Amino acid sequence: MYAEVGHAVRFVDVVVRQGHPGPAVPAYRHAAQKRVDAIRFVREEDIPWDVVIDELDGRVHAQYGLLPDPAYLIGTDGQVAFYSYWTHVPTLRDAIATLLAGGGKGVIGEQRLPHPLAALADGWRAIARGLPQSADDMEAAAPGSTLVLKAGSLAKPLLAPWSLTSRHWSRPRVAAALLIIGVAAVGLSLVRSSRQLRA
Amino acid sequence: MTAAARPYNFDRFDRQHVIEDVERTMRGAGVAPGGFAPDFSLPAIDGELFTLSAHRDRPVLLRFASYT
Repeated sequence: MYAEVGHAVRFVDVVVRQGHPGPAVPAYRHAAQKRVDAIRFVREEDIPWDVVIDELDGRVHAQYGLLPDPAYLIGTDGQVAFYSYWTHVPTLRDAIATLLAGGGKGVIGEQRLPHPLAALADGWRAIARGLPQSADDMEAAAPGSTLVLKAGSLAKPLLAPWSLTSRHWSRPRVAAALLIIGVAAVGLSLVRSSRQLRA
Repeated sequence: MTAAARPYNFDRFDRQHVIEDVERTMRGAGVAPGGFAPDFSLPAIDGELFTLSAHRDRPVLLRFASYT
Protein backbone atom coordinates (compact mmCIF):
# COMPACT_ATOMS: atom_id res chain seq x y z
CA MET A 1 0.00 0.00 0.00
CA TYR A 2 2.90 2.36 0.76
CA ALA A 3 4.13 1.96 -2.81
CA GLU A 4 0.70 3.03 -4.06
CA VAL A 5 -0.04 6.00 -1.83
CA GLY A 6 3.17 6.81 0.04
CA HIS A 7 3.65 9.92 -2.11
CA ALA A 8 0.28 11.32 -0.97
CA VAL A 9 0.03 10.05 2.62
CA ARG A 10 2.70 10.14 5.32
CA PHE A 11 3.02 6.74 7.01
CA VAL A 12 4.12 6.76 10.66
CA ASP A 13 4.51 3.78 12.98
CA VAL A 14 4.60 4.27 16.75
CA VAL A 15 6.47 1.49 18.54
CA VAL A 16 4.65 0.53 21.75
CA ARG A 17 5.18 -2.06 24.51
CA GLN A 18 6.03 -5.70 23.97
CA GLY A 19 2.79 -7.46 23.15
CA HIS A 20 4.16 -10.96 23.70
CA PRO A 21 7.31 -10.79 25.85
CA GLY A 22 9.79 -13.62 26.00
CA PRO A 23 13.37 -14.38 27.02
CA ALA A 24 14.94 -12.51 24.09
CA VAL A 25 12.32 -9.75 24.11
CA PRO A 26 11.51 -8.94 27.75
CA ALA A 27 9.16 -6.19 28.89
CA TYR A 28 10.79 -2.79 28.48
CA ARG A 29 12.46 -1.30 31.54
CA HIS A 30 14.49 1.38 29.74
CA ALA A 31 13.92 3.57 26.68
CA ALA A 32 17.16 2.22 25.17
CA GLN A 33 15.67 -1.30 24.99
CA LYS A 34 12.71 0.04 23.09
CA ARG A 35 14.94 1.84 20.62
CA VAL A 36 16.90 -1.34 19.92
CA ASP A 37 13.68 -3.18 19.13
CA ALA A 38 12.40 -0.29 17.00
CA ILE A 39 15.56 -0.50 14.89
CA ARG A 40 15.16 -4.29 14.62
CA PHE A 41 11.52 -3.78 13.68
CA VAL A 42 12.42 -1.43 10.82
CA ARG A 43 15.16 -3.73 9.56
CA GLU A 44 13.25 -7.01 9.81
CA GLU A 45 9.99 -5.65 8.39
CA ASP A 46 11.84 -3.61 5.77
CA ILE A 47 9.89 -0.45 6.67
CA PRO A 48 10.63 2.60 4.49
CA TRP A 49 8.45 5.11 6.40
CA ASP A 50 8.86 7.05 9.66
CA VAL A 51 9.03 4.98 12.85
CA VAL A 52 8.88 6.76 16.20
CA ILE A 53 9.23 5.39 19.72
CA ASP A 54 6.54 5.95 22.33
CA GLU A 55 7.45 6.91 25.86
CA LEU A 56 8.25 4.06 28.23
CA ASP A 57 4.91 4.40 30.02
CA GLY A 58 2.96 4.32 26.74
CA ARG A 59 1.58 7.85 27.11
CA VAL A 60 0.77 8.29 23.41
CA HIS A 61 -0.46 4.72 23.04
CA ALA A 62 -2.90 5.36 25.90
CA GLN A 63 -4.16 8.59 24.30
CA TYR A 64 -4.99 6.61 21.18
CA GLY A 65 -6.83 3.74 22.89
CA LEU A 66 -4.21 1.15 23.96
CA LEU A 67 -5.24 -1.45 21.41
CA PRO A 68 -2.54 -3.78 20.03
CA ASP A 69 -2.67 -2.91 16.34
CA PRO A 70 -4.80 0.14 15.51
CA ALA A 71 -4.35 2.55 12.62
CA TYR A 72 -5.62 6.11 12.34
CA LEU A 73 -5.99 8.05 9.13
CA ILE A 74 -5.57 11.73 10.03
CA GLY A 75 -6.59 14.51 7.67
CA THR A 76 -4.60 17.64 6.90
CA ASP A 77 -6.82 19.53 9.35
CA GLY A 78 -5.61 17.29 12.20
CA GLN A 79 -8.91 15.45 12.57
CA VAL A 80 -9.23 11.68 12.63
CA ALA A 81 -10.80 10.75 9.31
CA PHE A 82 -10.81 6.98 9.77
CA TYR A 83 -10.05 4.64 12.67
CA SER A 84 -9.21 1.00 12.01
CA TYR A 85 -9.19 -0.70 15.43
CA TRP A 86 -7.33 -3.66 13.95
CA THR A 87 -5.24 -2.56 10.99
CA HIS A 88 -6.76 -3.90 7.80
CA VAL A 89 -5.02 -2.93 4.57
CA PRO A 90 -7.90 -3.12 2.04
CA THR A 91 -10.20 -1.09 4.31
CA LEU A 92 -7.48 1.51 4.88
CA ARG A 93 -6.77 1.65 1.16
CA ASP A 94 -10.43 2.49 0.51
CA ALA A 95 -10.45 5.11 3.28
CA ILE A 96 -7.29 6.73 1.90
CA ALA A 97 -8.79 6.89 -1.58
CA THR A 98 -11.93 8.54 -0.18
CA LEU A 99 -9.91 11.02 1.88
CA LEU A 100 -7.67 12.00 -1.02
CA ALA A 101 -10.72 12.40 -3.27
CA GLY A 102 -12.07 14.82 -0.68
CA GLY A 103 -8.95 16.96 -0.68
CA GLY A 104 -7.31 15.33 2.35
CA LYS A 105 -9.98 16.33 4.87
CA GLY A 106 -13.27 14.87 6.05
CA VAL A 107 -14.73 12.23 8.32
CA ILE A 108 -15.01 8.76 6.80
CA GLY A 109 -15.76 6.45 9.73
CA GLU A 110 -14.32 3.51 11.59
CA GLN A 111 -13.83 -0.24 11.35
CA ARG A 112 -13.95 -2.10 14.65
CA LEU A 113 -13.90 -5.77 13.69
CA PRO A 114 -10.62 -7.57 13.11
CA HIS A 115 -10.15 -9.34 9.80
CA PRO A 116 -9.53 -13.04 10.49
CA LEU A 117 -7.45 -13.59 7.34
CA ALA A 118 -4.96 -10.86 8.22
CA ALA A 119 -4.62 -12.18 11.78
CA LEU A 120 -4.09 -15.70 10.51
CA ALA A 121 -1.47 -14.70 7.94
CA ASP A 122 0.58 -12.43 10.22
CA GLY A 123 -0.21 -13.39 13.81
CA TRP A 124 2.61 -15.86 14.31
CA ARG A 125 5.39 -13.48 13.31
CA ALA A 126 5.22 -11.47 16.56
CA ILE A 127 4.80 -14.55 18.75
CA ALA A 128 7.83 -16.19 17.15
CA ARG A 129 10.13 -13.46 18.43
CA GLY A 130 9.40 -14.27 22.08
CA LEU A 131 9.55 -18.06 22.03
CA PRO A 132 9.08 -20.15 24.02
CA GLN A 133 7.41 -17.99 26.69
CA SER A 134 5.34 -15.94 24.23
CA ALA A 135 3.72 -19.06 22.78
CA ASP A 136 3.19 -20.66 26.20
CA ASP A 137 1.48 -17.50 27.47
CA MET A 138 -0.62 -17.11 24.32
CA GLU A 139 -1.70 -20.74 24.54
CA ALA A 140 -2.67 -20.33 28.20
CA ALA A 141 -4.63 -17.15 27.42
CA ALA A 142 -6.39 -18.58 24.37
CA PRO A 143 -6.07 -22.39 24.14
CA GLY A 144 -5.31 -23.63 20.64
CA SER A 145 -4.46 -20.18 19.31
CA THR A 146 -0.76 -20.85 18.79
CA LEU A 147 -1.47 -23.93 16.68
CA VAL A 148 -3.92 -21.97 14.54
CA LEU A 149 -1.46 -19.08 14.15
CA LYS A 150 1.36 -21.46 13.31
CA ALA A 151 -0.83 -23.13 10.68
CA GLY A 152 -1.68 -19.66 9.35
CA SER A 153 2.01 -18.89 9.14
CA LEU A 154 2.66 -22.05 7.12
CA ALA A 155 -0.20 -21.10 4.79
CA LYS A 156 0.96 -17.49 4.55
CA PRO A 157 2.00 -17.71 0.87
CA LEU A 158 -1.66 -18.43 0.15
CA LEU A 159 -3.27 -16.28 2.84
CA ALA A 160 -1.20 -13.09 2.60
CA PRO A 161 -2.12 -12.08 -0.96
CA TRP A 162 -5.74 -12.89 -0.19
CA SER A 163 -5.73 -10.87 3.04
CA LEU A 164 -4.33 -7.85 1.19
CA THR A 165 -7.21 -7.80 -1.26
CA SER A 166 -10.10 -9.26 0.73
CA ARG A 167 -12.78 -6.66 1.52
CA HIS A 168 -13.98 -6.32 5.04
CA TRP A 169 -16.39 -9.02 6.09
CA SER A 170 -19.87 -8.55 7.49
CA ARG A 171 -20.46 -9.14 11.22
CA PRO A 172 -22.09 -12.59 10.65
CA ARG A 173 -19.20 -13.64 8.42
CA VAL A 174 -16.60 -12.49 10.95
CA ALA A 175 -18.54 -14.23 13.73
CA ALA A 176 -18.70 -17.46 11.67
CA ALA A 177 -14.98 -17.27 10.87
CA LEU A 178 -14.06 -16.65 14.51
CA LEU A 179 -16.31 -19.54 15.55
CA ILE A 180 -14.61 -21.87 13.06
CA ILE A 181 -11.16 -20.71 14.17
CA GLY A 182 -12.19 -21.14 17.81
CA VAL A 183 -13.49 -24.66 17.24
CA ALA A 184 -10.34 -25.53 15.30
CA ALA A 185 -8.18 -24.08 18.08
CA VAL A 186 -9.97 -26.03 20.79
CA GLY A 187 -9.85 -29.20 18.68
CA LEU A 188 -6.13 -28.86 18.02
CA SER A 189 -5.53 -28.10 21.67
CA LEU A 190 -7.43 -31.23 22.73
CA VAL A 191 -5.52 -33.38 20.25
CA ARG A 192 -2.23 -32.04 21.54
CA SER A 193 -3.26 -32.55 25.18
CA SER A 194 -4.30 -36.14 24.55
CA ARG A 195 -0.98 -36.84 22.79
CA GLN A 196 0.91 -35.35 25.71
CA LEU A 197 -1.08 -37.52 28.15
CA ARG A 198 -0.34 -40.66 26.13
CA ALA A 199 3.35 -39.76 25.99
CA MET B 1 -5.32 -7.79 40.73
CA THR B 2 -7.53 -5.20 39.01
CA ALA B 3 -6.98 -4.09 35.42
CA ALA B 4 -6.08 -0.58 36.64
CA ALA B 5 -3.22 -1.94 38.76
CA ARG B 6 -1.67 -3.91 35.93
CA PRO B 7 1.60 -2.51 34.59
CA TYR B 8 1.75 -1.08 31.07
CA ASN B 9 4.94 -3.02 30.36
CA PHE B 10 3.87 -6.49 31.42
CA ASP B 11 6.18 -9.49 31.83
CA ARG B 12 3.66 -12.15 30.82
CA PHE B 13 0.77 -12.01 28.34
CA ASP B 14 -2.37 -13.51 29.87
CA ARG B 15 -6.08 -13.98 29.40
CA GLN B 16 -6.87 -10.64 31.01
CA HIS B 17 -5.05 -8.89 28.15
CA VAL B 18 -7.33 -10.60 25.66
CA ILE B 19 -10.37 -9.55 27.68
CA GLU B 20 -9.10 -5.97 27.92
CA ASP B 21 -8.56 -5.76 24.15
CA VAL B 22 -12.08 -7.02 23.45
CA GLU B 23 -13.52 -4.63 26.02
CA ARG B 24 -11.62 -1.65 24.56
CA THR B 25 -12.83 -2.52 21.09
CA MET B 26 -16.45 -2.86 22.20
CA ARG B 27 -16.53 0.43 24.08
CA GLY B 28 -14.72 2.30 21.31
CA ALA B 29 -11.51 3.19 23.11
CA GLY B 30 -9.34 5.72 21.31
CA VAL B 31 -10.09 8.80 19.24
CA ALA B 32 -13.37 8.67 17.36
CA PRO B 33 -13.51 9.86 13.75
CA GLY B 34 -14.09 13.61 13.73
CA GLY B 35 -12.05 14.12 16.90
CA PHE B 36 -8.71 15.85 16.81
CA ALA B 37 -5.70 13.55 16.85
CA PRO B 38 -3.75 14.22 20.07
CA ASP B 39 -0.48 15.89 19.23
CA PHE B 40 2.81 14.35 20.30
CA SER B 41 6.54 14.71 19.88
CA LEU B 42 8.43 11.44 19.97
CA PRO B 43 11.93 10.41 18.93
CA ALA B 44 12.39 8.62 15.63
CA ILE B 45 14.89 5.79 15.42
CA ASP B 46 17.55 8.22 14.18
CA GLY B 47 17.06 10.32 17.32
CA GLU B 48 15.29 13.19 15.55
CA LEU B 49 12.11 14.41 17.21
CA PHE B 50 8.92 13.80 15.24
CA THR B 51 6.00 16.15 16.00
CA LEU B 52 2.67 15.09 14.55
CA SER B 53 1.24 18.61 14.16
CA ALA B 54 4.27 19.65 12.11
CA HIS B 55 3.13 17.33 9.33
CA ARG B 56 -0.11 18.77 8.00
CA ASP B 57 1.02 19.01 4.40
CA ARG B 58 -0.58 15.64 3.65
CA PRO B 59 -2.72 13.10 5.52
CA VAL B 60 -1.01 10.84 8.04
CA LEU B 61 -1.56 7.12 8.45
CA LEU B 62 -0.64 6.56 12.09
CA ARG B 63 -0.21 2.94 13.14
CA PHE B 64 0.62 1.61 16.59
CA ALA B 65 2.83 -1.44 16.42
CA SER B 66 4.73 -3.76 18.70
CA TYR B 67 7.90 -5.67 17.90
CA THR B 68 6.19 -8.68 19.43
